[in-house]
Amino acid sequence: MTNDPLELYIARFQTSLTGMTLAIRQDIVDEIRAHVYERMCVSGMAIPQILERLGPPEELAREYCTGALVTPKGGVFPLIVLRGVAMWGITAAHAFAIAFVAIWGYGMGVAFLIFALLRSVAPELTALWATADFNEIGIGPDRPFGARLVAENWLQPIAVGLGVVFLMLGTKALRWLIPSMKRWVRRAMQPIELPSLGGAGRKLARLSGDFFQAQARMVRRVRTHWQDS
Amino acid sequence: MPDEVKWEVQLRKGCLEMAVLAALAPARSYGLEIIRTLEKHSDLALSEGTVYPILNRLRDDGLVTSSWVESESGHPRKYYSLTRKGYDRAIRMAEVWMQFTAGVDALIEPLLPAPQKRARG
Repeated sequence: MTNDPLELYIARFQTSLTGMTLAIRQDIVDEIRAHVYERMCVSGMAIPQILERLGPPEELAREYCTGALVTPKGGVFPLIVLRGVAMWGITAAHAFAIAFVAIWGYGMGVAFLIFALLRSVAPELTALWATADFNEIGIGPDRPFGARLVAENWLQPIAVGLGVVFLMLGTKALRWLIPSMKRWVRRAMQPIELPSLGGAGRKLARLSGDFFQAQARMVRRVRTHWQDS
Repeated sequence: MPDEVKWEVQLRKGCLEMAVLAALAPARSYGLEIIRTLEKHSDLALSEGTVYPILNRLRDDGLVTSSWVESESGHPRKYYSLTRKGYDRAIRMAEVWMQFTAGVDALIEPLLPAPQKRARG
């Protein structure tokens, strides 16, 4: 095990950085390490002194994880819990939307591009046909009697266009959804500060104390009464 | 921590985001340079570690961008620069800050001892 104060600090810091990808965590750690080296070069400070100025590693990591610079104002207990649940709900909805866009949007984009590619290689397998009244539409070599080929020359450019549009829209949606989800995760990860029982707790304790004292007095009286009689 | 000290820390932290954006307004800068700018031009005496999570959050919010650049000192530096959105936010924050302090100044004026009043006047 190393005794290097910087490595010990980094190890504690890294362990406390949660709720982020490895790449982001590494980037943060690299920046803190760069700060220490830079500070050492610029001001000639010793590493322990620099680390002291950075603050405890767990606290530094907590500020990265939660972004909670100012303690949130307290509120009514059920509302605080509901707020936390709602935030995780919105985060989950984001995650679902990201998965949906990534699978469906990109899937459609790639499928259209593959279709366009196949159109060059095997045109008869990728032919689009339709019956005269457009009641039946299909793709492939087996078409019903009387069905005719549709958009024969335009099929490939249309497929390429649709593929590109799906990929672009998917990317655009993900570029909006991912940062938005990160913001919600950060909000959801803020520690929930439940209100203490405070005065109510003290009152309850005093009342229960009074009750047990009264009960003990009553038992003593009954016992004395029986002994006397 | 006594209540008044806690309040002061929260106050400093609260306006640190605006101060960091203001420090980045003239040109791109890296963590330690931003800290030194804040030390030089403001009274925001906070632990150095406070600035980095703020920069990280500002980047996530699209207010700043960052990139690693090799420096002459031999260590790479992570430079931050304001985005258009960050610049607009900094201006808006500065305007709100000026309005806010002007309002509160008038309110707290009677609390201050005479020499401080003269200094502020």
